[in-house]
Amino acid sequence: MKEGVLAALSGVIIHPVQTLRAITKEKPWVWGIIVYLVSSWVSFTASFLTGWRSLPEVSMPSGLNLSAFLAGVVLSVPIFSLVGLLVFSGIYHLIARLLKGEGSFVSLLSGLGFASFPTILTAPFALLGVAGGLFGSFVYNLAAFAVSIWVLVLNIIVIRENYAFSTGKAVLTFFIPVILLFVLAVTMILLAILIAVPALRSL
Amino acid sequence: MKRSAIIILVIIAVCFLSLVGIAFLTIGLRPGKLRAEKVAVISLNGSIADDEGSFLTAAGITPKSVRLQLKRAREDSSVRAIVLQVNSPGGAVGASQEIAQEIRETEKPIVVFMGDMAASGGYYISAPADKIVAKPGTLTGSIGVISQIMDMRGLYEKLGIKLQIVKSGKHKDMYQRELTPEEQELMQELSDELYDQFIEEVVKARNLDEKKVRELATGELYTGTQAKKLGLVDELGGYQDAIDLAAELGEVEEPVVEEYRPKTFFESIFGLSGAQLGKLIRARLLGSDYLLLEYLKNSHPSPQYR
Repeated sequence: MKEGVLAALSGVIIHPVQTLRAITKEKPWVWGIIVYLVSSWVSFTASFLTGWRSLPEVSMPSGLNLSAFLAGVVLSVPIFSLVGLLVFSGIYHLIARLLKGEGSFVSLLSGLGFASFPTILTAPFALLGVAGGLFGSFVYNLAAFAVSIWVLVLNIIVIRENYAFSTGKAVLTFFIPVILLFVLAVTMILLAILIAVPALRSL
Repeated sequence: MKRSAIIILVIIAVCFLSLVGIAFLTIGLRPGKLRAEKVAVISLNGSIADDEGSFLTAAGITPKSVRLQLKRAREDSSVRAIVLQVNSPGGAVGASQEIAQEIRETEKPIVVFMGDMAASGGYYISAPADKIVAKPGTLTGSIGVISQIMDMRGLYEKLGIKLQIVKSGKHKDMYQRELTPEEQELMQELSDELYDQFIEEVVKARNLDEKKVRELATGELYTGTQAKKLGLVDELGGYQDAIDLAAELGEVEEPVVEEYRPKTFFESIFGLSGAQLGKLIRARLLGSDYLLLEYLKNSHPSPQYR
């Protein structure tokens, strides 16, 4: 990192295209993973605590030691985030290679890690969501949606810059796993219905 | 340090401070969540039986499930009192007695909250609780014993099965056909003894006069309001009243309610468990007549608190 990690993070926000292009060339994958883990941890914990607060007392799961549960959730997020990052990077890399892309997996990992940085910004809005009543909640949800779109765009930029793709091809690479997951989910639901309906009819 | 780097550091600091703020607002304002003194709510729904249910009788209240849940509540030091949410038309005598004994032997305060129905065996298992709360419209009582003996010859005939019986013991086949007058008398004696056991349990558990219990134990149903007048229940009220009463007995000021046996995701979506779905599929494949036969063969016509 010639300019340092803080400069790279500000670059992701102010000049995303140049910064992410530079990151995919320099491949600071360790920093990429660290940024990804911290950002996901902050945004998930904020979102989890916000949602948890609204749960009614009577609906708490049975046998729950809440302190242990909270600690477990908060500590397990980095593990699941890392696995998610590796799996999705692998899938994107595979699809990009099938579409004749030339970039490397490590550059993609570095780029996606840094591209996740804006998710950290949901935390102050989550605080507003907790403290600001219905309006605060609305603003938080709106901000969370906007940040998701922002990160999605940054991910597409990373794929485009890493594999020297056109924007259209980068969008395709990004959405193919999403579409496949959707198709898989729909297929499973249909299968469950196909099995359950005749059985229920026999009642 | 560059200005942009400082801005990023400020952003990160603000984000972490926000997390601290959220944690304070969510956990800090509700300290009871983490240092909980709990009232455990155990839902007992359905018929009372020893087995875990079959295709035609969904798994209901079994001594095993009650024992396991009460054990969990007993062993959890943060649980100060227990609410048993009973919604049952009753069921097997032995299973009801076993459950009643488990409840009696639990040292933590137990409040029964009766649902729409806690009749017969449902009342039997409720009686040993420290307090009983019923809704005004709850159907309870039905103190009595019933035995239903099915003559299955018609079903065998329909399925083309010829039944040949070889027996050792004069009355061994009495549940396969119509009862003789002598067998009727034997069944009546059996039923009367179980009825006396029921009366004895209610007298002891509710501290009522035996004569009074015998008068009201006609097998008839009572509403919650009538049951309160008769001394069969202690309070009229709803779920929250039962929780409050349990908290009072457990000397808890702000209890956290912990519900045992929450519905699984599958049950919430489809309204039945995976095991039940499996049985439904089996019914589809085998045909309902054969499943009915299987069920009837396995259900010994024992007397019931139902």
